[in-house]
Amino acid sequence: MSCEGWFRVIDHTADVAIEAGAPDLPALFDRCAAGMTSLIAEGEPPRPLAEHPITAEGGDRPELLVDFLRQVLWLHVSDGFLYAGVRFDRFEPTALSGAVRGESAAPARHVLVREIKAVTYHALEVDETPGQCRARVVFDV
Amino acid sequence: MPHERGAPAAHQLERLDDFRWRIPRQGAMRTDGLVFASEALMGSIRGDQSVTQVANVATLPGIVGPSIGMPDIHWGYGFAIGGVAAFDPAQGGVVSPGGVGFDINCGVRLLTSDLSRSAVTQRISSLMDELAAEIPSGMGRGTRDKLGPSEVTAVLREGAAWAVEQGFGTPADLDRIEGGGRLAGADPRQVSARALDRGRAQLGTVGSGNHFVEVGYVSEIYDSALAEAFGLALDRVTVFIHTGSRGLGYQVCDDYLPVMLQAARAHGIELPDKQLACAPLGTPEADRYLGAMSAAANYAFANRQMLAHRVREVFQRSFGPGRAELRLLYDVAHNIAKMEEHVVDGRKRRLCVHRKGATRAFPPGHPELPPVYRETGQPVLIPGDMGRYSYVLAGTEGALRESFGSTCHGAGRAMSRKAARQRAQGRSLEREFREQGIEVRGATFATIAEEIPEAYKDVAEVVDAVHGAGIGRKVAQLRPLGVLKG
Repeated sequence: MSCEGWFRVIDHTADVAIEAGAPDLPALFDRCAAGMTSLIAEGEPPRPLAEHPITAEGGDRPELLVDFLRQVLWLHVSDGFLYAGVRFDRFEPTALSGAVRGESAAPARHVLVREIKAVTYHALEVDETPGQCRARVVFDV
Repeated sequence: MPHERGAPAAHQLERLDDFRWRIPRQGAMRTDGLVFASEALMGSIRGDQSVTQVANVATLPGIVGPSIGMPDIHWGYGFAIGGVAAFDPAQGGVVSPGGVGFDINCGVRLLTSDLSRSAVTQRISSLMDELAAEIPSGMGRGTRDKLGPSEVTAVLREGAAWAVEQGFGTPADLDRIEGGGRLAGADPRQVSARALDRGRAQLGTVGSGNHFVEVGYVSEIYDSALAEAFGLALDRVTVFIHTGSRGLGYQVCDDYLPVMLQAARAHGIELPDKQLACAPLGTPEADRYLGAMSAAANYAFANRQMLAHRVREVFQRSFGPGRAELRLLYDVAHNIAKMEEHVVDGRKRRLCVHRKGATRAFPPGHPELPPVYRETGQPVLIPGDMGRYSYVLAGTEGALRESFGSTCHGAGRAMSRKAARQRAQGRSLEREFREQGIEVRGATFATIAEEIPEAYKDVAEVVDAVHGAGIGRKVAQLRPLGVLKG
């Protein structure tokens, strides 16, 4: 997975959101996961040392994005996993599968700065304009 | 991409009196909105999208009475924080995980003592050190021992009673917890393996964010008869505990949001915001969520019961056996949905009352109150920010009549976490608090920085508004001596 695209963190009164943009949807999903990880940990960028299979589904594209991020967040909550990248084997409008790569957070390299309670559906947006896909996701922190 | 939350409230607001504002029904709204607030508080409420969020909740099927906002209302995920909404199963009413929030049964409990402020002030530093050593707090902090799967199930079924059976506190405590510390509808089978796993190592922990254990004292009394009945006397020391169901509760909410999105689609419910995902009461999806949510609520009751026990142990060690008895005044949820009987339009109805960032506030004589509070009304606990003060109120007839027996829950943020961290940059926060007579212990500088007092609204204004509106009665004010932040 290339890292084409961008993300930025938006800070609000009671929550944190990210906005991301990429040329296509798989890259957009990747940037959203990278953005979420940047909220959780600071320090060295996570390395793609371990791989975990991942599947996600949703009633539509935005819900699919939330479910993908929920699965990545679960890997962090259960195993300390920090996301580095993804390979999609299947990427359909309401389902995806593949593998995410990353490493477990290590005190020497990473500082855990924030607990994300959940990925929310609030004010969720996915704009699928070809060549300039964009998304906004709000997190409960 | 437009960002809706920065925009001013698009809905009309009609001022009804000094503390009430009506959001007239319009568009897809099925009922009016009603916000309790002073003019000054309404100034900041207008600045975010919480008025629109109150109006959005009014579009959900089967809503009864107005969609309600409390004076501490502020922007939340889907439902505003500080919102109350009741739904009638007989009219297609719904239950919504977003109307409870991620931290299911986040709540507060207050312990009272006969210790004087001066006795505790003398040794507050070592007392806070001991509390910090004894009580796991902070990001994802767990316990030394993991519960076995059958033990977690027992906690989910029995709530605070499980903790008492294990020797954490006494049976007398249970009378002084909302619902006896156990929601009867709890169904652990509806709690996912992920949620159970998250619950195994976090029982008896505070967590992070705005959760805390606070040692304080009674600084002012407004109603001496009620204060006496609640065991509150000037200068006597108190302990506040604020936490909820930890990762287990977040996971339950997280697990059920997609289920509810599907259910809403299947039942043709149009959602102005997906975080309002819901299912009609009586459907399998609603039953499953209510079973899991009640189980998570029981976990939170058990969690606060265990924390209170730890605090009691530390006080016993610090002040000597018998000299530092900590009595439970009350324990209330402020993120919950419950089936309750309410009289609407002269008719008694069983409704699903959602309180998200709102506290139950039942009046004197209410049958759900334990005998000890039957004549006073329910104690209502309203924590403020860590530097100023908190309040004890009592439930009123006005609350039962106008807000489904509910009132406010706290101060509400006025500043983003990032802005608060920037404001705190370069300051010695611990020294600043010490100069004000408050010993602070916290997991990290960032945690304390995000929770500095100026990041919050003044809870006194919030409490004055609910008192003025008659949906709560001021009893006493408490001020902090020591705070353990998560």
